[in-house]
Amino acid sequence: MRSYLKLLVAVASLAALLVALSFVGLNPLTLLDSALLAMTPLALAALGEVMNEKAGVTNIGLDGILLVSATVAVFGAEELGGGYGGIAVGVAVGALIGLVHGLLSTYARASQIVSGIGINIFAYGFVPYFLMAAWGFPGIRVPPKEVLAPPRALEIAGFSFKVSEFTVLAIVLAPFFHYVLYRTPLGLRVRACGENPEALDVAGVGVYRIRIALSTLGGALAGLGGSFMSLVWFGGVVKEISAGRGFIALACVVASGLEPLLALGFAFLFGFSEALAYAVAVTPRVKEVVPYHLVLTIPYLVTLAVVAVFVGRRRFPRALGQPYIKE
Amino acid sequence: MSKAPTRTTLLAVVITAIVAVAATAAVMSAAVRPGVVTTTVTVTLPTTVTLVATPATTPATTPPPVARFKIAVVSDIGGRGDLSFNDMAFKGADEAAHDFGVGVVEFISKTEADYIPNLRTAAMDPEIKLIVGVGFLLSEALAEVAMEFPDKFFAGIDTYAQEIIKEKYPDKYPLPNLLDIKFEEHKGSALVGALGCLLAIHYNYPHIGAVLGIEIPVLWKFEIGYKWGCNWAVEWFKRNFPSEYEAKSKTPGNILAVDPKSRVLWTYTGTFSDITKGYLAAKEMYAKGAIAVYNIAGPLGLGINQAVEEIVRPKGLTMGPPFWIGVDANQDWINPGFVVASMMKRVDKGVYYATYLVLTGKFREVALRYKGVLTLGIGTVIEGVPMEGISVSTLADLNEFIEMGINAEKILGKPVLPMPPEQIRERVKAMRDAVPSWIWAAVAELERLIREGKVEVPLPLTEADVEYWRGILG
Repeated sequence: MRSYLKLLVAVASLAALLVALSFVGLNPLTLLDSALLAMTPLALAALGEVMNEKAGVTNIGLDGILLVSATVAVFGAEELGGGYGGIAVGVAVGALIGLVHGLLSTYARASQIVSGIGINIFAYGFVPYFLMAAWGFPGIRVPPKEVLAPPRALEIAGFSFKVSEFTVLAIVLAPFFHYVLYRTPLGLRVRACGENPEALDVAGVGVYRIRIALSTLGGALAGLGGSFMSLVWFGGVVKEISAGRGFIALACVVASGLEPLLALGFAFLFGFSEALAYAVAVTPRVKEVVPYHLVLTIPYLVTLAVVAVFVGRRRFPRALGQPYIKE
Repeated sequence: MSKAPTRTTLLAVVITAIVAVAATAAVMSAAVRPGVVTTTVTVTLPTTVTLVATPATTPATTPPPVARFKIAVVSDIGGRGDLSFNDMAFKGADEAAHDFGVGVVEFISKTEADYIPNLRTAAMDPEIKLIVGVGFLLSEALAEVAMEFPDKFFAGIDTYAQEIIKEKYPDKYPLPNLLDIKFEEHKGSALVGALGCLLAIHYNYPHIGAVLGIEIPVLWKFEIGYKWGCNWAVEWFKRNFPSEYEAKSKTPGNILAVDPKSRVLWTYTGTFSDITKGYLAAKEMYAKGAIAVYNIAGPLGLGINQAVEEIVRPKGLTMGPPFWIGVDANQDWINPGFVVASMMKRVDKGVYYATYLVLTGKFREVALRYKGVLTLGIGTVIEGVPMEGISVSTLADLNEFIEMGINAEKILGKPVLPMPPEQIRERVKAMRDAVPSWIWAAVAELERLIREGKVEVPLPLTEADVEYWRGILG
């Protein structure tokens, strides 16, 4: 519970920071708006990964899933004529990749790391090819504005604050996953699957089925994150749209020690500090005092500092990353 | 232990195979739809697209002047699809293919380790006479391979290969089969900087902005040129409209009332691929009151565009302000009405002229005369042939790029452009007409002064130069 107390402290200090920033001419609403947008894909991918790692499946192919889903979601949106249809396609493809990864890491007993790397390599090759195959134009696709799913705009103090239902979903999923993991029989089975699969097997519960289901869920959520980037946020896709964000999501997962609420917190923290870094970097005359290189390292420094504070409290499932072999 | 694993492994293999087949089938069925077929079987489709699209500068009936040969274009790791730098190089190769009847071979470099193998493979092909390396990252590889193949011609876009030759093999300098093609980006950036600043003066905005990619020497030229252009525009306004200048410099929130070193908001992002960073930087600039943000980071333009969209969509605007400024290619069509102009760096012309020099047999002569560096800019004339490489986009340029889109649509059978071509032209024209004509006249005047050599835009080449100019311009 102490870690959640720290989270509370973090939120409070964030609020204080926002108030302080408004005095030096930085609009806290703009920062918060950017932070939430940047948080959403990270949080969705990280929450999914937390769940499948709890069940003992590591998927380092998150970046690849983000990238593939972002691309096929645009294709789906144009074919189906709507942003939500496109997002459904992106989620389905993410789930499919998660399913394949789940099958490989259970029945096929493949190394999960190798399978994850495989997903990434596949994505980096598939996406440029797919862009050419689908639209005949290399590297980029900007679909018509009608097939996007832009976030709703809320007018707050003259600033149009953007809220997407998927951001809300990410925020709601974190406590929900926490509840499922620690308060339900299903959660107990999921955790047992990662800690002691033999015991679960002896109790008559299918280890493979749980692992495959959770891997599929993780893929679907990463797929949602990718679709969010192209259809909700940017209104288009470029061949490197994920730009390593899958690995940042993994960093959030590791830093959180597989706690959904903390994973959400880290995703927000990273999004916020990245927005803050640019807000500071473009402020006139700041560069005369601090080199911009240093300013742009803010997100990494902040994340590092916060991880340092939480060090020593993380414990990972005993059977994480190991294929379970039935006796 | 003996039977079960075999069975499960087999099952896994079968399932994986089914999924793989299903995935392949899905992709193939997407590909088999009418019109898309060609794109999947041939990688050289863009060649076809531009080939049809290129306005025939030379009548199509003109026979190629000499026997056909091939040119090779080796991309840097950015690769195609940046809608700017790399794409423009391939466009130039396609135009050369169309006008001169040469063949084009593309080499995409996936990592930096691919540069030398790609260049060497191209040079070893007996049909390939000219090898073009795109991007300053290829400089060393280009210098090395050009030394190995003295009978082949090498051209580099934005490279400094001759400087490497000068350092490593002073007795060979300048290498006669190697041309570094450079551009006067500082001059073009000065023009759009002046444009942005005058817009800010007119519409009462406090800033203009610039989002830059990785801090490489070429980008210094953009950065300093842009800031210098803004400064020039302020001086011009002061000279030509003294009374308005007085009034506006007392209006809070006008760029004239802002400290001269704070007029331009700028930052490097350290990336040419992560559009999120372009978005975050541009969003903060617009929030601080930038009227236009100059995209100096290739694909990050999509992020800048999104930052503009967020401001204009709730208001239902059909044209800026706010605007953004395109780079390298004509990007005015990407979001018609919100891209006020593009600083066109005609990388395509660079490739085209290099091919022309090989064809006419003047390559070595030019390489020796100009110490291996071909600088294309405003008013450049090489060997009596005008070879301009820098300009601010016009409505006429827009047509050239829309045509590319229209032809791609014909081949693919589905929309590529954001809206019908007529509507794009209308919107861009309406936006340009809404900008007061004295602003365009001022930009034209600056261009004339640069062309006539009456003003000199600073050209920062070293870190010390950049620091000096940042000290003056902010």
